[in-house]
Parts: sequence; structure tokens; C-alpha cells
Amino acid sequence: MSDSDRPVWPDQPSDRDLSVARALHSLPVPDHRLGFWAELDARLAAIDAALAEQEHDTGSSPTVVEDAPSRFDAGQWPLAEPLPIESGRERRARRRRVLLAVAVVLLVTAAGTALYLSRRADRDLQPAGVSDPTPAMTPVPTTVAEPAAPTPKAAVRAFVHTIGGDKEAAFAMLTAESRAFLGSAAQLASGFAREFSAWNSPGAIEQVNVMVARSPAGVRAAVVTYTGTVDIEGTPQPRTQAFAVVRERGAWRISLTATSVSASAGAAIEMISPAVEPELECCGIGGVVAEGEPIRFTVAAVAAQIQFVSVAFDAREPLDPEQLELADMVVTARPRLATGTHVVTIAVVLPDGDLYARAVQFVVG
Amino acid sequence: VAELARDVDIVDRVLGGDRSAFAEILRRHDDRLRGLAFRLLGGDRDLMDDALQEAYVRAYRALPAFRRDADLGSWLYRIVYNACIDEVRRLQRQAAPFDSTAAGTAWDPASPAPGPERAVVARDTTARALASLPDIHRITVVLVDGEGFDTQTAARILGVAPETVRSRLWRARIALRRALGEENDS
Repeated sequence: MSDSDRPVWPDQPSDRDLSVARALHSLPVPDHRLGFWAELDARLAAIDAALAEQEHDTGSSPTVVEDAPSRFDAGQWPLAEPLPIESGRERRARRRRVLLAVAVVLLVTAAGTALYLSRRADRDLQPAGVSDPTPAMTPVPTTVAEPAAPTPKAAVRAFVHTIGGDKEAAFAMLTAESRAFLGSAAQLASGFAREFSAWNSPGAIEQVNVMVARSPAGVRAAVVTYTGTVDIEGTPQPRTQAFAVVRERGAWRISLTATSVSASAGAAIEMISPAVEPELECCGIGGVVAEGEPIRFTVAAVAAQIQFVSVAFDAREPLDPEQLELADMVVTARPRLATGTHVVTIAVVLPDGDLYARAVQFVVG
Repeated sequence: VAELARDVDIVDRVLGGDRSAFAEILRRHDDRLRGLAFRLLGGDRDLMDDALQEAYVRAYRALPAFRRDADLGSWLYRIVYNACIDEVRRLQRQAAPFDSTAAGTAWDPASPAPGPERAVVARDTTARALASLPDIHRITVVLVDGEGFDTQTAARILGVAPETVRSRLWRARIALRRALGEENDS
């Protein structure tokens, strides 16, 4: 996306309907709920803590100087606020913060040594960027209690199988960030169980693609894409679904925050061509592109670097970085595809390890 | 230019470890971003806050890659917009059925100066009418009529053809007017 394409503060006369505009602007915009800034404060502090831990773990210099304040002073926020009376939503948010804090503490204390050792072991394995990680990715010793799947593909298979039954076990298969995002196994069950367990039906999965995401050092991620037809309340629906898998604490774990349209970060990759109608976002079904027409998508995360953008078509190996064009936040790929149905799998890993991924089925014709 | 330099200075302070400077960034832009989020999310404060939480966290994480020659306000605007769209998709919520039996006098575009009581009712009516639109229609009408983007720019933001924007806009305006008008009649 070029600068001219970016949203800017609108100041030009436009195609506005002024009476509708007046109506919209008659809406009084409320202030934030009580606890908003405190919640944000806690989340940013957790990010800094995790980054500091990561820096410590990899032995490089921390980016946060030592004399920086350890947390935001409440008075520095736009509105200093009293302690909130918690609503149900705020209680849920607090639980998420607590979970996140617990995850950070666990990283720092109980699992710190194991994390360091497992990352050291991970770095000795094959780097990301090959077509199929299975042969090269040997299982590494792990100190975590839950069983570790040996490959991303196996991790997804186990997760999809488990979520239909033992929700707690499925919850434990998620990345720490995804667990913090959801807050509980119950949230996972209510929000995702039906969607994912639909793949368990015999014959539902017609094609499985695995793409290792090109990632910065110390980050290992892959995207497993299922394509097939699932049964939703008695109606067969064609579907393409990307599962992001991240190597974390010695195991391949599912990152829901990286992929699903039901997760907040899922739409960080937006398809331009093939376009995806909002009604079909759920199902990974895109439109039709003409033969020879480039595949284009936007990456909302401005920190994206082309060497860490992975694009693979069907079961092929990811395109080389030099085969991709990144102009600001728009990535263009020019694959040679025959007429017919194809699946594109996309992954973007940011320098801090944040992963975004999606897969879309589309037609060339 | 001075504004740009000031933004760069604040960003540098954040990246230098002064995290309180991030609060200063938000303080300067929060009013406008709240307005965008509130309208995109159909006048729901909780959704607005959820989306802004996510957006501000994303912005904090992405700040090291912020281009110095870019406009910080536009950059934040894009992040907030994306977070709102994510929120819409995450919830996949069905538009609440419009309550045409609600009491009160509706917004009347022909009335230039409604009294205070009437204005309160009108705003409430507008919020419900906005919330009753299908998500994609609401997003389109907010971008064009609410935020003032022309259809070409809105098309680029939405990743659709300008004709699609015009079509959605037309439908959204019709629905919005009908919702407001029906309430007016009741």
C-alpha cells in the first residue's frame, strides 16, 4: 500500500451525504470505560517484561534502558482514574491479564532454564523456509507436562482431534498468547470447538499443506492449511483453514491469535486479489482472478519485512523473497498458476516474533 | 512540519525507553480514534474499548518500525481501523433487530436546531439505526459519510472496487434513512 493509499485524516470534500454525515456526527462519543487505561498499562508492561525476558534469554542487550520507568504512571495517561468497579467484562479482562502475568512469571522462573535450553536446541535444527518441515524437524526434548507433537502437522491433527472432546487439553496446546487472549478453556470451547472439530468428520479434509514460515532467528513457525468440505449443522461447506503453529517451550503450539477470523489479530492479512467477501471470511473462500493476475494482500503490521513474508501456493514450496514485492503494506506475488482451484497460504512474522497467517482458496480462470 | 517533528521526537522517546511518551501519543490522538472506533462498531462502547485496547497494543509493538516520514496520526488511524474490522469479524455479530417500537422522536435532518431533549433521543436513535446496519454497510457509510473519505479511497481501504463501495453506500444510506424514518413515524 502506497502512502497515497493509506487512510489519512479526511479533509477533502468527498462523496458524503451531508444529512447522513450530520446524523453520524450527532452521536456523542463516550469516554473510555473505567479501568481502560489501567488495563492497557498492564498489557504494555507485560509486553515489556516479555521482551526483556526474551532479550535476556538470547543474551542480547535489552531495548528498554534501565532507568526507564518500570510501568506507566497512571497520571501520565490521558485520564487518571479511580479504581474501577469491575463489570463482568472487566473481570474477564483482569483474568486475561492475570493469565498473561502468570505466563510471564512461569517463563521467568519455572520454565526459564528449560526455555533457554530448548531454544538452543531449536536453533540447531533446520531453519524455516523449506517446503515441508516434517523430515528436518526432529522432536526436541521438552520439560513441559503435556505431550509434544513432533511436527506442526501432527500438532494440528492432535489439536483438532482433542478439541472435540477434552477442552482443557486442547487449551493446553495453545500458545501462551492465545491462552491469554481466550482466558479459559471454556472460551475456546464456545468460540472455536465446533469450527475446528468439524474437520474430524471422515472425508472432510481433502488436502493438507504445510508451509514453514520464514522467521527471524529464534522464532520457529509454520502454517498448516486444511482444505476440504466440512459439515455445519447438516450443510456441507467448502472451507480452507490455516492453523498457525509456533515452537514454544519445546513444543509445537497452536496460535489462534495469528489466524482465525475469530481472533483479534486474524485480519492482519487482508486479501486484495483474490478478494474475499466478508460473508466468506469464515470459510477461507476467495474469488476469481484472471490468469496471470498477481496475488495481492495487505499486511496491516507495518513492521513486516519481505524476508519474513511467506507465500506458498497449493503444496509448493514458498516463493523466494525476491519473488515477492512489498510496497509499504501491500505484498504482490506473481505466481504462474494454471486455470482451476488453488490455495494460497500466507504467513508474516514480525521482528518481535508476532505471527500472522491465513489461507484462501481461489479460482484462476 | 513542526507537528511531524514533534511526532518523531515522541516516537524516539518511546523507543529510547521512555514508555510514558506513548501515553502522550495516545493523549493527542485518542479523541479522534475513539470517534472512528465508536462509529465503526455501531455505537457500542465496550466494543470500542476492546478494539482500541488491541489497536494501542499493536501500535506499541509496531512502533519500532514506524517510518519517520509518515504521519503518526494516519498510522494510528490505520491500526485502529484494522482493529475495529477485526473486532467486527471476531464477533460476527448479527445486527440487532431494529426496535421500531421504541419511544421517542427520531432524528430529523430537516430540523436544524433540535432542543436538548430531542437531541438526546435523536442520538440514541441514530446509534440504534447504525447498529442495525449489516457490518459491511455500516463500515462503508462510516468511512464515506462519517470519516469523509471519497469512494476511491474507501475502495482502497476496503479492498474492493469503487463500484462496490457505491453500491454498499447506496444500500447503507437507504437502510439508515429507512431506520431513522421508521422510528420517526412510530
